Amino acid sequence: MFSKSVLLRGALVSSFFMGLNIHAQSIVEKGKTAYMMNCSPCHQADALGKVGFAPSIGSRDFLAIADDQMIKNTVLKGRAGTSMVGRPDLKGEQLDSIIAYLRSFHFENPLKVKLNKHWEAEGDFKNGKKLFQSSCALCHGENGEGYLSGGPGTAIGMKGFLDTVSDDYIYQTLKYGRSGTAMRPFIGAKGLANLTEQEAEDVIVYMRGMADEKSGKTQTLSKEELVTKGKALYAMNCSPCHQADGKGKPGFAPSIINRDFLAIASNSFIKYTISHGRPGTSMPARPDLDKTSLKAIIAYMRSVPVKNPVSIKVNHNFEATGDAVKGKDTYIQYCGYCHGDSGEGYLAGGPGPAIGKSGFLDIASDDYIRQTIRHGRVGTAMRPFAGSKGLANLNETEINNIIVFLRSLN
Amino acid sequence: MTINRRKFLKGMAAAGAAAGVTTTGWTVPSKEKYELEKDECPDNILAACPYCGVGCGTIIKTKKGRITSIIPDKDHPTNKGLQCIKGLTSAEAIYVDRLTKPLIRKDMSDPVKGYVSKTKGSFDPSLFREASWHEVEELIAEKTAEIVKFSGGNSVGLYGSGQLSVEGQYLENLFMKGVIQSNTIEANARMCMTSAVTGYFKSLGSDTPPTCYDDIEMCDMVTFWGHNARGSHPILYWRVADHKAKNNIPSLVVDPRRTGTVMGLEEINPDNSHHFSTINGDISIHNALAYAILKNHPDAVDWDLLKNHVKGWETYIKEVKAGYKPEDVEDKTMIPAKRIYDMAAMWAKASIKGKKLGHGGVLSFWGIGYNQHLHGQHNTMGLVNLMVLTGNIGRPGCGPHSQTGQPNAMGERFTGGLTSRLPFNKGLNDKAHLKHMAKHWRVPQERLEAVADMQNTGMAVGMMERAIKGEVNAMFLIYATHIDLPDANNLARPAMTRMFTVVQEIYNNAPNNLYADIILPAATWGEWVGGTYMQSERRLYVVDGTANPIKGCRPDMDMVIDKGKLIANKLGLDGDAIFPYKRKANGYYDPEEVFRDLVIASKGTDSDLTGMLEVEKETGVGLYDQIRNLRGIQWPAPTAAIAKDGGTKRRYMGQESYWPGKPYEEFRHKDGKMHMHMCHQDYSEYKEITDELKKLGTDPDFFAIDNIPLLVRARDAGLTPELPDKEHLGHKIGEAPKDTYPFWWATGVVYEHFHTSKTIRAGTTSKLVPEMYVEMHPEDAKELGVKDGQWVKIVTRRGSVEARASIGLDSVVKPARNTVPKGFLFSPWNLSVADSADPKKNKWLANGTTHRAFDPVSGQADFKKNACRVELI
Repeated sequence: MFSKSVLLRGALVSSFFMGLNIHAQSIVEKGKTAYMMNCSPCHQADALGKVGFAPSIGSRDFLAIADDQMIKNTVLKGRAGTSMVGRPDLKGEQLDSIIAYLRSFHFENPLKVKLNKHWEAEGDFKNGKKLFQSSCALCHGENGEGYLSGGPGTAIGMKGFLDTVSDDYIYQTLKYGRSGTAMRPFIGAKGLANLTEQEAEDVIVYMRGMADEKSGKTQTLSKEELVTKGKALYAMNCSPCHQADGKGKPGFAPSIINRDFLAIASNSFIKYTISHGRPGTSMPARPDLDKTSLKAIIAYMRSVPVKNPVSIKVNHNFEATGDAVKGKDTYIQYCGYCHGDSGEGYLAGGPGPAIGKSGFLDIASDDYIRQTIRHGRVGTAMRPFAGSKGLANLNETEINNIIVFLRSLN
Repeated sequence: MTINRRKFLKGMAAAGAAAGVTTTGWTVPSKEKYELEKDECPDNILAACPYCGVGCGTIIKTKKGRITSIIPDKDHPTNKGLQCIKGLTSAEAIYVDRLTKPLIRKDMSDPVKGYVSKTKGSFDPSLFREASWHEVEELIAEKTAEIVKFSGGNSVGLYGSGQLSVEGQYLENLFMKGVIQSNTIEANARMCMTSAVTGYFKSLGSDTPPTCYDDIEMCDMVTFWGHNARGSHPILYWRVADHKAKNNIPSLVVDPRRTGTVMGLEEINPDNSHHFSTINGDISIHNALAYAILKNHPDAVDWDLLKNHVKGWETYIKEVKAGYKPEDVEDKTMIPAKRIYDMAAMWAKASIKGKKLGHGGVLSFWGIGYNQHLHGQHNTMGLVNLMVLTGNIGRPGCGPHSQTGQPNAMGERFTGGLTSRLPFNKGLNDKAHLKHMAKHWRVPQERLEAVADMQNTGMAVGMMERAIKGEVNAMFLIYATHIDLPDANNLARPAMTRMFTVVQEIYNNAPNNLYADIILPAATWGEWVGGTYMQSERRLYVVDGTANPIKGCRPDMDMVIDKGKLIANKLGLDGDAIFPYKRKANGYYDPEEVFRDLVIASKGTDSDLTGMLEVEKETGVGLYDQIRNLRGIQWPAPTAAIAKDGGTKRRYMGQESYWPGKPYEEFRHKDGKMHMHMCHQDYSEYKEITDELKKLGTDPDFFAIDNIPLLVRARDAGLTPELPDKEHLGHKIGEAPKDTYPFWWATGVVYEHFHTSKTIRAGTTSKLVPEMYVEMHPEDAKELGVKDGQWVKIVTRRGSVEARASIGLDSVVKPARNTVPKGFLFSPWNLSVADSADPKKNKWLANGTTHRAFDPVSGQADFKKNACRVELI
């Protein structure tokens, strides 16, 4: 039996697409058929799931947080250890159509969430464990085994889930919950358990390490040990370009043991940059450095004492909107001298690093760029570009335009 | 415990909240310290949550006979796998700070001899001696019988609870009215829901919420009156929020504060989420809305309903039109007329839509904030009037729906464990029903007839005043605390000091123990045998337990039976005939036997449950199993078909399924009609009346029960117990003239806690909100010179309380979830004894400050409208 709401949704969507695009209509229709055949037996015809049996995948919040790739991976690989079987046979157009169908659902109060897939939670494993046991385990099971524990929550401790989702996926789920299901928001005064943002990160750190802890694999270095190890690794791998003191060399390598850089760049930003490098520049990818080594290098960089420390909050959900054409003018007027007119960096002969290349743009959030423009980098040629003390007193619109322009280069 | 808890917490807060609090300051004994009766019990036990009246399905997990944790029941229709933080962590409060042995105070009060104990007010262990169950039971029976003979049955009182099972409550009422022959029986439901109860009776003819939770997903507009559902009934709020997010329905919250409910709904859609910040203006708001609807939206008025099924509507409409033009009552509503007209338009639109479709319309919830008024009953009636005027009753998806505080407050109402009430929505004044109950209770009819002539004026507050005057000499407190009553230090405490007081209690450091002559260690929720609970939508649910309490503790129901048998025998009755129950192989009485008695006795009433007996005959499935299988049955279930269907979802206007011999027509009143009674607000004698009410709690010779006409005047004018000296706002602390009380002072609840005992002992919740706080408007704080996080003293005419100032949503004091209007202060009462129950150390006792004036019909006090000033500590 088709529930009324699905029929209505379908009707709304088809009438919406009809005038626009015959192809889109057919793909949604096709997706609906495929969904009904393959997914609805468990996830229900309305895609809202059944508590303790199959999760809601047609809910506003799930669709806002899960991107197409995540859904694809889940469908193709399944969730080992749960009743969600892998369906490699659905690949290609059929899977695309199912996703298109899910995406066609209409919501009265839509939610938009931007995921930062490279972000990694940082926190206290032990505290995370405590919080997981008191706030999550009652529904998801002590080991995150999900429905098997008898609770209404899904298997979030299983490899199948943890390998498919990013830290930010979990974080945003804790932040927004899943309206219409038993999963409520957990962060802040409005949450179910009043977790702080840091506590949410602790929980994620615990979830990531849960399996290792069970198998006794965790080797934890103390903070001092990490710093010592990091110092050696830095000297060997980073100092040739970034200099022994980390202050860099204009026109050659940027300053990275730098108050403002370390305040704005998250650990995940640095980790990603080291392991992936910056293609098109002389910063090579170093996939050979393992997790602990990366952690050690960062611990060392952050351990170097700073005079007048600052704290800058980067909001990775911020999205700049503006005019790329105007942005280009402003960019050329203020930034191009150092960074090159198309952000090519040192290659253009200036002292500024490459900020127009994908290596940088893929990892830097809009707010990362905005904060850098606002605050500059103490001790380098990059001065603040906003406020009365700035090199140029750019206003918010101008800064946004620059960001939009930079994005257009990618 | 040697560390002063408050100082300790202060230190912690200074050290940084994120540093990770590892201890809560309570001496939490390790689990192993308590020996249980057995080391095995079933696992995955079905129960309802022990906290609020929403009644979430809960599964108790166990290991080796012990409760280890609870998980939400995914198959329960109410919560569908969702639960709030209190319920999720309810297992944390079970094996903590427990009593294990009966205790007798060495220096007992003896009202027969006129002797008052010198050690009351302290629960130091050295003041008590341990005793055997046999010894205490004999002592209680002897003393009670002696007092009955000395000053009559009505001089023995009982304060019961909405935490107790339906079966326990049913027997309690039988014990008091049938055995002791006393009408002095009250329960904590009195301070929680009786305004709704008496309002329902007056309007609809019976104490029945006519709606169910499933109406949430069908309504076209939702309103909350004096109800911060986000904090007090989170599951309900979340269901509403989800429905709003999905269908974009408009909403109205009437509350002085901008609460989590207000802000949560605004977050979903600020354009159709409205908030009326009013103080005491509810009745005028109803009437003004009715005025605006009558004037601008006559098509939203359900004339058919009024003309055919309502009595008194002509007067109502006439008086609304004459006196409640929104522009003219802005001084009472505190809402600009334009907003009233806009809201009326929205209300009319939803009502018309619902009527056209035959489902949907306006769904109105109200909570304790609404009931706790001098005119609480009128609040309910005023709202029901407005709902009926616009036809928002008698169809799915609309109607009035009160929310109870206790998980089984509905049971207390259903079993009639209150002054002058009998089970099944009838009073002692109904002669035929009295005869019926005497038969089913197996007690002589004359005994109940005698009780029908006895008075307990003033109900819960009155019972304590009568005790102070010497009219009540003994008191049983069962699963209830005395600190939920107002003006504790001048009312319940002196009363309990004088009386022979017996408490059934689970915790060591509990305030009741301070004034107890005898303390009986009770088994609590989860570890008891169980019984049934009744939730806000009339859903009966079986609350099973491990039947494996801490060694030495007994279930409350068992204590009622044992005590009942003994005392009945001492009073010349046949105890074994009245309580024909035998202990089972597990050592406990079987609540299902008592439940069967109750079901049989319900025959022919408007809460008839006998359909379950027919189902049992037909299918062989027992009564409890029927309830378990369906995850609850909503009363009434008078036929097998209705019982099989899970009972009656909605009532009135023929919404009940086929019910031959239904004892009422469209509504429960004898004439089959809904009764409209106009409720008014008139502030012309405000000052004069509140000046008189000031004497309560300050003049020891001035009793509320001697001044009922004064309370009636205050009620009829829709007033508050006190009126703050607003003209003295704006002074720095200490600079306002002496003896002035410029602020409103309200107490209420916070999401993380449920009442005052369990959640403050549960690790998780006690860490989330560990200390007493007071919400303050930033301008008031500035004028007073108070900084966020500073400790201050709130002083009323009757007492004071210390609290940390929480200013705005960024406050360092958790949870920082609400904001208050200027001139208005709010604190949760939940933390009342979280510092210590010992009066020498206890600085947070909210009800040490509140006013005892009550609604003369519902008996409920107004905890939200006290006058106070702020002082430095």
